[in-house]
Amino acid sequence: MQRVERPVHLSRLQVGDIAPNVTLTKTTGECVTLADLLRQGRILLVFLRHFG
Amino acid sequence: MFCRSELARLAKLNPQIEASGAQVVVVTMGKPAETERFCGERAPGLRCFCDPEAASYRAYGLTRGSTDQLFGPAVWLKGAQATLEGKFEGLPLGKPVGDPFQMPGVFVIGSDGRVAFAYYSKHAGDYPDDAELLKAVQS
Repeated sequence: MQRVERPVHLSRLQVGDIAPNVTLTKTTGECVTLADLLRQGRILLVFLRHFG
Repeated sequence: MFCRSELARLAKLNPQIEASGAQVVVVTMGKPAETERFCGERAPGLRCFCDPEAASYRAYGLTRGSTDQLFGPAVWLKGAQATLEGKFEGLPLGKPVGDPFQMPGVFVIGSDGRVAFAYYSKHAGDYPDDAELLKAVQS
């Protein structure tokens, strides 16, 4: 039987929502949270597509 | 292909963004060394971070796109426009890094930790234009 993958429905953020405090990895390998970055001011957060 | 154009555009706008008191945080699905190389070549000066598992993409509600969102007519049209405007940064070289189906997105997070702007791309080549982006970071 063929396996059917269900589409994943994720809830979109709205203006005014608390931003998820995600953890990201620096190019040096260390981890940093969004809250750490916010201490340096507001953020333009850009999620890129794949690259190659 | 659009990730390169977007990165080049962000690098160009970065002085205006920084002058407004905001900082650019770019997230890729590459590993640290891949991201360092890609961002270093395309946008030196921009701060790029890695999330190979794309967990942060999901946390921000960014889904995997449909075939139409990734390869449909709107995507080709955007590529053609970029080429005509001299903004096309070339076709991808080598193996893609990251999930090719993952959709992009742009957010402004205020110093209060709340979302001040949220842009969910309608298709792979859809990003807010320069004026919309600058207005969002300056507000």
